[in-house]
Amino acid sequence: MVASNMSALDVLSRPGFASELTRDGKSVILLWLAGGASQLETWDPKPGRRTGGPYAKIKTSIPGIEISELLPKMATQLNETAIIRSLNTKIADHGQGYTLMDTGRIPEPGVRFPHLGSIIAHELGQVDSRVPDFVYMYTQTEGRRQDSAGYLGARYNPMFLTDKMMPENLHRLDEISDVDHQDRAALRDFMAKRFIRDLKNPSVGSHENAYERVHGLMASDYLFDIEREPQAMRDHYGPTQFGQQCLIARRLVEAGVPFVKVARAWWDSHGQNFETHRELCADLDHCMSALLEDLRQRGLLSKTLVITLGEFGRTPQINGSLGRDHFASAWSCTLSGCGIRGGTVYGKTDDDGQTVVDGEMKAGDLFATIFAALGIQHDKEHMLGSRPIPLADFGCEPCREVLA
Amino acid sequence: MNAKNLKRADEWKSQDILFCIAQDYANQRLWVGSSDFKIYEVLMSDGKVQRVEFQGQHQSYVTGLVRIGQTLVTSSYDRHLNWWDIVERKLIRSQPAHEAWIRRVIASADGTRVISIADDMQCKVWEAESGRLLATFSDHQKLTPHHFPSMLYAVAASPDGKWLATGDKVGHVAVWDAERFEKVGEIETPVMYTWDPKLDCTVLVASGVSLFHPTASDWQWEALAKSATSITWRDRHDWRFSSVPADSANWNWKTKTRRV
Repeated sequence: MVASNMSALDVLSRPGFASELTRDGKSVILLWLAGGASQLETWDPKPGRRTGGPYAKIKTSIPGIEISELLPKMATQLNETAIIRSLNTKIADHGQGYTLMDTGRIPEPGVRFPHLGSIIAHELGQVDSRVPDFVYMYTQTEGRRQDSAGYLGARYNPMFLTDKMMPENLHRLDEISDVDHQDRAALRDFMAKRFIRDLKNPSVGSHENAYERVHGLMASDYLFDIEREPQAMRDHYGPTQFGQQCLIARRLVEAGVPFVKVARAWWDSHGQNFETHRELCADLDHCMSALLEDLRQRGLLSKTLVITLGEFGRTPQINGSLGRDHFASAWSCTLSGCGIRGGTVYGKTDDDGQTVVDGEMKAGDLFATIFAALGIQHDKEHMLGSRPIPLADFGCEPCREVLA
Repeated sequence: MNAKNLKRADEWKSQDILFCIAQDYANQRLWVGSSDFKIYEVLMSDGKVQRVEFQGQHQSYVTGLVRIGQTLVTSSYDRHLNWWDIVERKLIRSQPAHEAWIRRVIASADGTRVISIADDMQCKVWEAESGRLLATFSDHQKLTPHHFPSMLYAVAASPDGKWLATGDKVGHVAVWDAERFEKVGEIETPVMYTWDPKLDCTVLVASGVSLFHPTASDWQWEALAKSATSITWRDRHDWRFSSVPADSANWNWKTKTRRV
């Protein structure tokens, strides 16, 4: 299995063989809070302050850590979660903020940096995988931006699902029975192997890999069918679209998909921030806690990194429409599961949430932390021509305080 | 009163958000409830505005305010109703009233009762002077059809004292007998109520003021959309668009025929 990993094709001669072994079987589920969730209504509440808003904070399962009352279920199970309160990413524009938190770096002319998911797919995926490497589920607003594999190549682009939770064009035609489909594949496989044997050519091999992959993907469409789950499990995640997509995400990582991104819309609360977050936080709280509990019970949480993240946070100042605007100077995210020291809070903001006063973290530092949690060397370099490009931006370091 | 004839006499801005207001025309003063958890008397004379803070405060946003004689009654997200002495400008009494955010408090036409609504989806009627609870009733679901927490946003009392009406986030309006506290009618007013992308049918109202008018014994919904600028109605697959001019006086919409 290690030998078929795309980043370890010559494992016996590579240093860090042991670290590559530790990456096996690991996955990431990114819960993307599209539009930018308010840190004050989630992970870094400031009740009683002018900027605090009307919601209170509540105690959690970790003594000394309090979060917003809008997340009561997560408050009872922070044992595997690290809260980072000190992101300062400076860019408060949807498009540029998305790109920054998508790639971990500022764009440069002439270089197409890959999305986090594409990097993870490249590092953790299997070259002969019969499941997708990167699945992205989204329907509305800012999440319509399609992530890109950049210089890693189209192989690592996401399978992008929008209105439907089932990939299109994966099913065999109704006119072809399953028996015919299997027989056709077997015949093609037989003839292709003879052809490859007689004509050793990398592009021929690549073509064969593509067919194998498509065949595998067609066979994996069942992963997106939540009707196959018992009703009790579907009830556990709840009836909302976000819940259903989180259930699919669990099915995907269980089958070996390295990276799944589930985007939840409408967090961009310039008006009626508190009403918006009442509903959205209820959805996040329920679905995230259901997902973590499900992963834990299946023994998958130790190998699955669950991230909550968005483009940025929201202003401590409350505007005249009872909203909060874009804010990237002091905001929060969470990391749960694989490689994470749960029950921790890293970083601190001031009393009003205006600035970071301790543990400032850049986007690249967050990416370095994510890579480290997965056993991926954050300063490992890809070569783009003669230019080395580290996985995490130059000068960025993982936050050891949140790593197990 | 014709809204077209209104002219702005003065303008006053505040740093905090003012959720509710009551007025004393004779003495040119207002009372306001604020996002800073306090209430204020606002005095206007000689073109100057003076804001005077009342002693005491709520523990969260002041969402409702009603005057009854020389008393103010306020509601808050802190789930309490407070009684205030207008003359002394101080808190008289604070009592727990609901299990969730109180959205609004109003007075009956004769001033003998106050009526409060909250996100526990209950409407409560109290004796205005003593604060004694007279009735609790509800016809509103705690969860929306998308299984999110709902809110009870609106309450109104008829001028003749016979009816009360309560309206919630999903657009369900219940009409009540104000003496027996029994439901006598209901109206469904479809609105946008969720941010769940999984929607079968959505009606978006950009802005609007709706009043309900009984026609004999048959409640018909008439929307007096004085300030609505656009309404978008979406079926499963069809979008329909209708635009209402901002200065239109009346707009009738029949829910069954879906025609304007």
